Amino acid sequence: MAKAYDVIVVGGGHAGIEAALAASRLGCSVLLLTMNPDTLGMMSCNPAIGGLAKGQIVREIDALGGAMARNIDETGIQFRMLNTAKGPAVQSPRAQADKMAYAARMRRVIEEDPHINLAMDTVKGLIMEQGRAAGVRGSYEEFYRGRSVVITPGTFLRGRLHIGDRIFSGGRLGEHPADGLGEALKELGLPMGRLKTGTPARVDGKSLDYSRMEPQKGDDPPRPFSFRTERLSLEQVPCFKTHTREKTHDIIRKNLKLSALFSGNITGIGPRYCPSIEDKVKKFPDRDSHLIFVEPEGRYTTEMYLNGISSSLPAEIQEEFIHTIEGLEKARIVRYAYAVEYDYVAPYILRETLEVRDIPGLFLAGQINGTSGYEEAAAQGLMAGANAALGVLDKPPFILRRDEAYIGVLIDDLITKGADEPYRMFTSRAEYRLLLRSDNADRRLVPRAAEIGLVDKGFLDAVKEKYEKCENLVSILRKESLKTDHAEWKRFNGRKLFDLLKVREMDMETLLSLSALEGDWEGDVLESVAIEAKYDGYIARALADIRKFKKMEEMRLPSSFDYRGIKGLTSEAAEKLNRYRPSSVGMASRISGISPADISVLIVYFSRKEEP
Amino acid sequence: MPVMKKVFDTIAAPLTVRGEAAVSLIRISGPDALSVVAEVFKTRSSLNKAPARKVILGDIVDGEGHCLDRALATLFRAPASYTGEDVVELSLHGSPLLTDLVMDRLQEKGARPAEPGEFTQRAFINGKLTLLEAESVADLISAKTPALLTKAAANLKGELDRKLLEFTRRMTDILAALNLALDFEEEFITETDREAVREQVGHLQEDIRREIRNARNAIREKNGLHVLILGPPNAGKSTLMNALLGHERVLVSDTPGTTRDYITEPFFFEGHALILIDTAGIRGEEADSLERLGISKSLSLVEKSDMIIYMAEAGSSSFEIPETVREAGVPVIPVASKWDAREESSAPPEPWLPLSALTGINMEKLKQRLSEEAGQLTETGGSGAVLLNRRQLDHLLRAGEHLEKAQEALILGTYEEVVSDFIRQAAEELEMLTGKRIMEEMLNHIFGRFCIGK
Repeated sequence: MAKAYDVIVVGGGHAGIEAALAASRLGCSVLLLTMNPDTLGMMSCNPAIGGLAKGQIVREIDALGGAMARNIDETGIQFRMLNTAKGPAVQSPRAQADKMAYAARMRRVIEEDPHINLAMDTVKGLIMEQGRAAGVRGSYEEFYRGRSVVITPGTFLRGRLHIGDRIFSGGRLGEHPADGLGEALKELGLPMGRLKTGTPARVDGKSLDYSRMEPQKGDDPPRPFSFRTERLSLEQVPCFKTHTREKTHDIIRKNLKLSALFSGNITGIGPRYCPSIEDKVKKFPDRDSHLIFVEPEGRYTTEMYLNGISSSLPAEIQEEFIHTIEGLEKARIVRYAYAVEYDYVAPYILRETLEVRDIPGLFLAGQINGTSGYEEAAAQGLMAGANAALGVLDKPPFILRRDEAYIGVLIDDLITKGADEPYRMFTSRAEYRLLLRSDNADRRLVPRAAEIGLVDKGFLDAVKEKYEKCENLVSILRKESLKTDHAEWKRFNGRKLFDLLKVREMDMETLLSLSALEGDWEGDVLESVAIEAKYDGYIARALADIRKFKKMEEMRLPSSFDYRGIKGLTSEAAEKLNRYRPSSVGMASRISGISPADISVLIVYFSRKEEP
Repeated sequence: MPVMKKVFDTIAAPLTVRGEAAVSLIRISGPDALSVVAEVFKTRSSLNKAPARKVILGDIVDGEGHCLDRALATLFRAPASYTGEDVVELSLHGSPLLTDLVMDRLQEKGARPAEPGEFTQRAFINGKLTLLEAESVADLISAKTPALLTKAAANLKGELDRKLLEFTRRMTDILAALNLALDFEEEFITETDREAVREQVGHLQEDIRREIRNARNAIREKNGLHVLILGPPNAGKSTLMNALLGHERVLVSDTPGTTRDYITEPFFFEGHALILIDTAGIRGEEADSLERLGISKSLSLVEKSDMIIYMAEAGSSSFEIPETVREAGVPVIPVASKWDAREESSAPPEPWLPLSALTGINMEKLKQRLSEEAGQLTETGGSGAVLLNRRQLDHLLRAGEHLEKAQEALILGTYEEVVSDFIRQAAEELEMLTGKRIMEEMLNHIFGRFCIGK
């Protein structure tokens, strides 16, 4: 029999890649199984990484040693910071990717990894031994033995593609679905449902009239995603803005019943926050125009992605409405838009480690848990891969709390609230978003990652050094006062420099030029200190808030316990707690349908238990 | 936690005050309520099969089977009972000895004496009452005025929950508006309309301020309005106190400085619960040391009073109110006393009220003033629900502070995410107020202030 791997990762998408790499960083032997090595790290939908809240996640992945940020730094073709009119906590980096380059480089990262073996196979089922996952069954090779298994099938789990009334089996257009695995998971008794997502048409750039669109350029200078990328040097390419018109909407409205979404062909629930153009036209009848970003699919292709108009209308209707759009009058469609429906597993069956509670050794990550987005998937992959490895190594699990990382928010939300629709991250989902910023992800997470070996000492030392410099600068700024003849600023003379940074119009550059401070600080140090000053006070309060609720988070609940045995709970609450198995009272309080009265019962019951 | 010794066991306690009376009522609640009672209370057919919410006649028996009383039992089956558990209420004849014996027997058979507030705590944790409804039970029982009674009853019926839920909803709306612009790229957003947000926050602040004022007045009424009778020695303060009370409560003499300490007495009057406080007279050098102690006490009472009747003898050289009293921030009714014994006939300067407690001159006028002031001090804007305790008020005050900071941040042009953070915290305070967010400490403190049998 073939050798047993420590960790088997099924699926080579954004989740699978980070899972394999994380397990490898912890020293485990990894088998990465993909249906097709040529599609490793493929961006199935939009050609971009990051965005609001997602950009923060990418930085967190980077701070945990993940590959996504560095990969986009190497293969991005346009970099922008979003929400710059708002405060730093809600600003997020985003980059346009060269899709082919992104996937190609990612494949090299995987192939160069000494602990990862890459193999092509379509997994049909799980090997179970004494209730544990012990490997997978392939289509070409019957047995792959592994001490733990991470499953990351994306939209391939019994994937069905819809264009109008045409239905194709597949996870992406032109690719086979993973039907066997979907059925196998169902047979294991996992609670499964259907979700839906969609992707817009790609058109040939040669056929577009860019003079009728508004170009959108990258930031100058472009700022890297990764804390480990010093600077970016690239020639950035522009995107273009255009919009639908009344006529576009007329065509869509007239043909609504031909869309797979409304014909009854699709039963899965789609993402409310990333709606198809059919949805938008229907839900916002008084809007006569919707924005479209025309984004290049890469540097060496003329294909352009029409961000904002995903659809599952028949091909000829797509053609018709796209031609009503400014600049796209003569657009030639290369790939039609389609909707994809796929299986997911209700995530309440997962532990915070993303391990299936009742099947030790089996981990799930990415769209199978009901999320949407490359970043959300990659984050889960990293956490699942790390925890699969830690389990094999017999080490304590790696769990991030809601106040530590968006990744903590993401996983906690999934296992307490489930996913009734594809879950996308927003900054407003985080109670402590003033703390969870993209600029300080290294400070928050590198020490945690270094503790378990997810990042090396070099990275940790660099981060320590950076924040020592920050503290140094802060103490100088708190000591020194302003003394200037500058007409605009002299009214602030005598004020501490640190406090001056709190003035909204004041930035670090101006401050340094006004004061005669001696010193040479790197850009990221200056930025970090400026942000700390802007949020000074608010951060202290947020920390106090965390302490206030900590007790509830620390009141642990048993992992195997029959809640029906507690008299004060309603049977609904007991059943729900039996299903969700929250690890703390705080987590129980976030489960929908668990009332304050139920929480009181838990407090009374479990705080009593320890006393004689 | 002081409240519950063991969780969800069967508990029992007398609901009525100990003492000889027509009836004594004992409540038994918990999973074994019926079987425990069946050992003590014998009926013709099995208690277990008896219908709920019907009165059952039976015998109270002691350990040897001797009958101690003919009594009535009412059964409530879970969850249709006060606590949400199986409940039996036993009506005995009101003998303290009998009540003690029955309680002993119930304990022998496995019931535990209930802790203060434990029945109501169980009603809360079994989802029969919201936290605010549970708190209103204590308020209802301790209400000293009809107005407080109707307010506590409104709270008990969930009106306060509904009122606060509306505040929460408005905060959620504001948060949604702020976050829309933060969470979405150009597609959906128009920039945040800060003016509109400011206006919404402003309205919310106004409503919460009104609620805070009402709560302060209601709590003041609950504590009793402290009316301080103050003035120089021999101004007739004790005479006035006695006249108001209608009986000789305080020793009166012509010797100045007779009252050396202060004396409090409840005074129920036109629907208000007043607490009259007769004090030692305030004077300067000639007071002896004991008297001086009384004087300093009188002045320290000023801070804690809700209203002051300041008395000066008619014909006294100066009608002047001391600065400490004037600046106490509470209503002052200046009274020119002993008007019957005055020498000249000219009226005292405005706004001094000429009065004789002895003959009753202008006593009605004084009472009218008292009533007016009391009415204003306890005004709560109608008969609707109102916050009735310090815990509730503290959370609302903090919510108000967070909104104020949000408003400040909006005016200063601070980032939306900071504004949103303040509003989130205000909403969190409301959640703790209403018990939507419950923490261990709250469970202890809230039910700890109840009496046994509630």
